[in-house]
Amino acid sequence: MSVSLQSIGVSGIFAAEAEMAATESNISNASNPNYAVESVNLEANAGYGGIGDGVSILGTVSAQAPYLTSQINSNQSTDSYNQAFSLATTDAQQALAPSSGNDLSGSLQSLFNAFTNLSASPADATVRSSAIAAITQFAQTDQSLSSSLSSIANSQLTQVSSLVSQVNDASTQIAKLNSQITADQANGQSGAALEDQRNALVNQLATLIGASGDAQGNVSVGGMPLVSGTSALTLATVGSGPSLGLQVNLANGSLPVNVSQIGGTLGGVLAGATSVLQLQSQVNELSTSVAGALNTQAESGYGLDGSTGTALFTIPGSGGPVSVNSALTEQNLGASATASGVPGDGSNASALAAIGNNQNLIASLPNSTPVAAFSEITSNFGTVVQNANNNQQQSAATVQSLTQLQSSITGVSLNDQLTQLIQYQNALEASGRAVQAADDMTTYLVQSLSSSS
Amino acid sequence: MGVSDLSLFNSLAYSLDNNTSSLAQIEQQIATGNQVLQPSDNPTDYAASQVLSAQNSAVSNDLVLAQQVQAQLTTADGALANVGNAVDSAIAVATEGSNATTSPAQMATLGAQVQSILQQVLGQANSQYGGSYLFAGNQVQTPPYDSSGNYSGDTGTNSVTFSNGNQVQTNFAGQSIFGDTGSGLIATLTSLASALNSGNQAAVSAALPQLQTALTNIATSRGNLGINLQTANNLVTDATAQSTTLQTQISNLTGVNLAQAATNEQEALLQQQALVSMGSELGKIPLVDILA
Repeated sequence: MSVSLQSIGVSGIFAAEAEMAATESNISNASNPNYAVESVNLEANAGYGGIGDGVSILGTVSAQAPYLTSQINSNQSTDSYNQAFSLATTDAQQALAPSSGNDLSGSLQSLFNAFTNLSASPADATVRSSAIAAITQFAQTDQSLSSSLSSIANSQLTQVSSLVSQVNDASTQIAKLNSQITADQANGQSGAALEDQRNALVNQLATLIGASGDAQGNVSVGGMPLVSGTSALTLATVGSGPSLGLQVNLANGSLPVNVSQIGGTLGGVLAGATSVLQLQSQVNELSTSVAGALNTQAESGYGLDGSTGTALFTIPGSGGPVSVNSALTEQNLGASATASGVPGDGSNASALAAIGNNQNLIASLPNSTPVAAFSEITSNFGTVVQNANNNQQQSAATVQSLTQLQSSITGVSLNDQLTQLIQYQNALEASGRAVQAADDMTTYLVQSLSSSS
Repeated sequence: MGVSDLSLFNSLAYSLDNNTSSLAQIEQQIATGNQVLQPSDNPTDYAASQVLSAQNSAVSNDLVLAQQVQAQLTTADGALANVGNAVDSAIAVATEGSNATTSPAQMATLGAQVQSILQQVLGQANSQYGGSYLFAGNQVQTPPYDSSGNYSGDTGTNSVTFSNGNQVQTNFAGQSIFGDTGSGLIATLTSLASALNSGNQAAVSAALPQLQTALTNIATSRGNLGINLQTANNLVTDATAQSTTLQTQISNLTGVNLAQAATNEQEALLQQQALVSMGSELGKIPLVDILA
């Protein structure tokens, strides 16, 4: 068996061309974050008697870092959860403790100050007007805070449908890709580009809902499958507002999803809404407790017009926020403790002011005055936001670090690629020269044989 | 292990984001003078400063109110002092009228003086502060005495309780201080004027101890009022000092250390310059230049 010098050179040309094609593809995808650097798998052809017989192209492969990919997906899920939770709670914190203007604590203290002033001058029209203004300001601050917290929670919950839709789109695409990859592999094709796309979609699902996938493209969240082979299950919302839930639709029914097992943006959004609604509930408890105690005291007093039994606030059955009693006027505000004490007795106003020192008004925050209770609520929520921000910074740093590591394996280094390009150009040129040399040898042999004959 | 170009840019962007975020926070701290800008910066200190701010608000309100009460009680004390002087004058007139050498015509003149003193006393008893009558009990919106000395106020009093628990009485029942047409100083002055006008020296003499009693009563009332005034004075002094202390405590909890903040800002700015400089180098690919 003879060795074909020309075919060896041609195989080298093919190999160099394939490598240059892969390199050019790598260079053109240098800024594509979902791209894994590709290389050509070559195999030396074994010739007769141990003499090499050129090179064969086995295929193109993508660089893989499966463990890092899995870690990134997991941490990306945590980071997305933390980002969504941190955003919601930071917004709520801004409403709870505005950087300018009065917060509920300031309104509360202004209210008790106004009652102290009223106790000194219960017949003074200006002082009575200031007391009504302080009552109104407290109610408005409470309403504004409660409304802001509702708005923040609702804006979180309204994102859920869109996120669920994105989850279902990604699941459907993964199921389709699974089908195409299986078909390509059956036909002996690499499917590297499709696997890149699938990895990106699995990462998107990890970001959206905290899902994790396996090497075969099966995806699940909290033990609940989202993609199984070539089938995608549909996630759907159930209920609305604070009772919003999720379920997975099956062919013959549905399964509820345990929301606490959901991660990613969707999990963070739901947890953020829950946290904000809990805060609203605490604020409502405080404001209704204070308003209730003030109402009881005010109703026992007498106004300048001699009337009694006028409440300061209207407290809704739903538990808040409070509003000013529409029947309250400067005249019927009960500053005096007795009918005969009108107008100069301000002892009931003094009793209203003393409620500011009552430490047993708020059931869930015993031993705290109203202002101290609000500060405790603020402090507790501040800790929630602080932890959320710290967690978010840590998870972002972890994702950044893992992404760097992954990128060092699967990312494109232009310096590497340009060096390789030169190497492959040289290989191509050398192979071409080898073919030329083989051709020259053949020509020489033919000419030598012709002249000798 | 290679380094991909994308990771270099991503890393730069991540570092620049963190640097910008730090710089923004430092600059906001310097601009506002506060290190704790929101609860999450330091939940414990933020909450503590919130409680201290509420206390400071109460103390500041106390200060303004105590100053107002101080002025109100000073007005009331001035009225009582004037009444005391008027009673002294009445005693002098009564002493002169009780002298056997005083003629009926002189006694009639003295009677007119006492009538004038009575009107002075009634005027002082109808003293007002901020539109409220000070000696009307709780009937602060109507003059407690008419020109004859009839009392239309009541026996009620009113007190203010300040945030430190101190109480100060602000209204006084005039009847217990000045009496009315039936008893007390006003009744004594009325009957003295009548005795002088009628030349009844025995009745004039009898009025003298009653005037002494009234003078003692006025002095006692001034003493009680003085206790309240002293409390108000102390409140003004204490509230001023307490407010300063509270503001210092708040500043200690949330205020920014400007020297430290300025150093942190310089460090962050240097880091930013280094990152931007690195970014401009990242834009260059040496190998491309070499190959070109």
